[in-house]
Amino acid sequence: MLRFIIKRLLVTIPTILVVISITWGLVRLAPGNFYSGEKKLPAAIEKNIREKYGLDKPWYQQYGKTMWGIIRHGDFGTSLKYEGQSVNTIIKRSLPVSAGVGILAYLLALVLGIVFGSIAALKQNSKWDYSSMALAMLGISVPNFVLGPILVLVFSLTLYWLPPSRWGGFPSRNLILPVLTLSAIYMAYIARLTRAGMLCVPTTFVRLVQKG
Amino acid sequence: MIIRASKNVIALILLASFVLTSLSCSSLSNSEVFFGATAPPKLNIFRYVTGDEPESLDPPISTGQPEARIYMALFDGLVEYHPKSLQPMPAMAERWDVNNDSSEFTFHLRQNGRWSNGDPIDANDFVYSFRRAVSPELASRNAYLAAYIKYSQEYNSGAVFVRDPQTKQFLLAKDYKESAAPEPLSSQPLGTVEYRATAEESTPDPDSAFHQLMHSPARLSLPGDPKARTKLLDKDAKLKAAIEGKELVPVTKEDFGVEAVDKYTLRISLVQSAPFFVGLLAHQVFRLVPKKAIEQYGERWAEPNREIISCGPFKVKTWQPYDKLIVERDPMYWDAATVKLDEIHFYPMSDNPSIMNLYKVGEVDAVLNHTVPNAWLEVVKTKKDYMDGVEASIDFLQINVTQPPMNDVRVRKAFNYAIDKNAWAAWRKIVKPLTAFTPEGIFQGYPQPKGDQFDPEKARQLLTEAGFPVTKNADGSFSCRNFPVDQVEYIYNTQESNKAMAEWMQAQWKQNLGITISLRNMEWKTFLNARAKLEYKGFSRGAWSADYMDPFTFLSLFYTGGESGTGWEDPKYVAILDEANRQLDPAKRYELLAKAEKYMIDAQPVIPFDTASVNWVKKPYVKGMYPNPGSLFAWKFVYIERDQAKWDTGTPSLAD
Repeated sequence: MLRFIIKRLLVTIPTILVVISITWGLVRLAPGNFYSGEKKLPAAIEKNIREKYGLDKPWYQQYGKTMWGIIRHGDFGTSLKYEGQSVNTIIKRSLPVSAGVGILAYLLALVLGIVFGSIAALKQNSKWDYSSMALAMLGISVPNFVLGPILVLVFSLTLYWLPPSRWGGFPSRNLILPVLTLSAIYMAYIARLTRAGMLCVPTTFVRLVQKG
Repeated sequence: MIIRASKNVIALILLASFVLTSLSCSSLSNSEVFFGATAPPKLNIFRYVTGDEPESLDPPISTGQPEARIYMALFDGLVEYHPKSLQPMPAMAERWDVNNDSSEFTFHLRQNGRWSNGDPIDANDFVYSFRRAVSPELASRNAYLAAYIKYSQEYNSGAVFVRDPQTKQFLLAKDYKESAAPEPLSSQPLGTVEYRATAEESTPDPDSAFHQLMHSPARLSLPGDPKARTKLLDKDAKLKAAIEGKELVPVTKEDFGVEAVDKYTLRISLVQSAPFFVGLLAHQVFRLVPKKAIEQYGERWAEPNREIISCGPFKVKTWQPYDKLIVERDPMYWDAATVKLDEIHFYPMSDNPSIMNLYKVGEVDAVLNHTVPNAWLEVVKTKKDYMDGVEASIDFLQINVTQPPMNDVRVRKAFNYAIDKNAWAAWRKIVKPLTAFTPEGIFQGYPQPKGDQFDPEKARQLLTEAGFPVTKNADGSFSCRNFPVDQVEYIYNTQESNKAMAEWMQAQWKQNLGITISLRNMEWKTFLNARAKLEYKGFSRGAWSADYMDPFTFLSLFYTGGESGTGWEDPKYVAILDEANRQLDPAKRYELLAKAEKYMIDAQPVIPFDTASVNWVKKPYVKGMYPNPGSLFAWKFVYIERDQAKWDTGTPSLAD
């Protein structure tokens, strides 16, 4: 099992490199440049920018430099959008936030999903069962991009309880709505799975035993 | 049991909904006059959304307005934008002298300027900052704004001078360039009457070697790149012969026309007369940067998590990218006594509805321009915290004048006559109709020319004259059967508002001329490319905003051919502009600029639509912040007013 996992993980490395190469090629083929805008730049200034970022070199040299940086040093280079910052710093800064919100949402989904699912299973065919399963159905069928704005409309713009946007770190009031929104769909799936698991599996076993 | 419990639940829900309704009612009554909450923040802190995450905190690097506003908090320049008019007002420079033809400026710096770490600021800091801003290594996209400074373009483009190895004399530009504009006073040997009589003191130290270099006729310069140079020389036999056996001397930062005359005097020599030049100096590309920190950390001196040395009214307290940039009052600032806020929190955001929501609930005190979504205008425009004002930017259509049928001025004019701009402005709600190429109501005292008004009858007549007869149908509509609609299209970059605009114009032409122009949307970068290379036929969407507060910032789009995306260029137009900029009398200069504008409008390489509007909101307790035409704010004047009687109810006036 461990060998299998390691093997799968190793396979992702060439996959990622191929993805990076294809993306690199597509960006190269796309028209325009990162520095072009509504106001056209004088030729001399454009030339300076191309030299600064090595865009005046042949494509294979640019590609080699990019790939060598990634393979040898894990260095994704300098950001073209946020000048003076490296891509690695930006990832290092942003990844923990995304991961944190994701983990919290998953935990919430797990806890509430199991609780709702258990209640539904234990009180099968009661109003508790129906209401939690209706809720779960709602969670599955209402997409994030609808649920999010509704929560903002109710809790921020009408009640003035929670901030409608921005980030406040861990822990903060800003976490509540995004975590709730993100967890809804998983919560719903987990609740249904739990209910199904608690109700159906034993009966199947029973049937099997009976037939055998 | 279950029934009892559910009764309780119902009671609870009823109670909750009652509380909710009463709560929302109270918030509603609050937002009748203003948009959302109006309780001032407890602390003396101003919270502002300035736009997307700043590209950089290194002033000459970013071109955007969001960054410009942040730089205005952190970095001072020679001058600062006035909070209402945006005209230059003294900052690090206490005052300045101008020579007789506005080609040389001498700035007298204050002696109490200090960096946030306490180090003193003097003229050498400006020389360093200016040289860095135009250096080819920095590759700033803003460097073109410094092009008026002598040998700036030559230094920025890595050009070379040509010198005779025997005589050590440099070749001069005037001997080899035909139709060169007459050189300004600053390119001529130093005279005695060059400065205005109003200058409070005599010209300081006129005899420095550098100043004499500035006051000699412009040297000839050639491209530094050998390939480009060979190409140029191959076309010009006379030049090629003259270069033979001469040595090529690279243009260096020491040749660039900025000089520290003494510790607190800075002199800037220009390559041409530019009366508006001081107004340009408030731009971020001319703001001070800390030499010591840059020499120590290089390009990444202004990274997050580093102590950023600054010199403005505020300094960086914390910077958490994508979250917030907090700046605090800097006690070292020369004018710290004027600064009223303790902190400003800049929140990077780009989604307009989210920004407006944040504003409504009172988590921010003001938002950037163009933030109120179209669908919200109906409501928000009636509130007393809506900022209604013209912006120094315009919307127009560019026409590719190099291809038929649009190469015929009558056809171009017909398409202009056929658009009802008043109706357009009324439909768009917040813009002002425009017939000329400079925004209306921005430049005080500028006799802006009028372009042609809506006149569909004349439009049809002109088209008929041009060989495309317009006929009236039985149902009152028009047809123009032989107009080559396959030769003309309207291109725009994919965006909802651009699409709406295109469809609106299309309908006007259909209705008034009977011509259906096909629309084509393009991805942003593809669009830019097509427009710049004139790889489109007919019309392309255009917009232009001021770099500085002078009509020339708009008119210069057609000053050097090829940049305007229309293919229209005219030496006569350039000549009028040159003449205008050599004028000593501001009123006469404006007259000539207006003459040039009229000349260009008459040729109709563009169809102007409207002057844009600033379109933002600020809480009534925010004072000292005005809806000026550039949406740039001198933060030291902004404060939070706790006395409700003194609040702003309505857009504050820009007069006086």
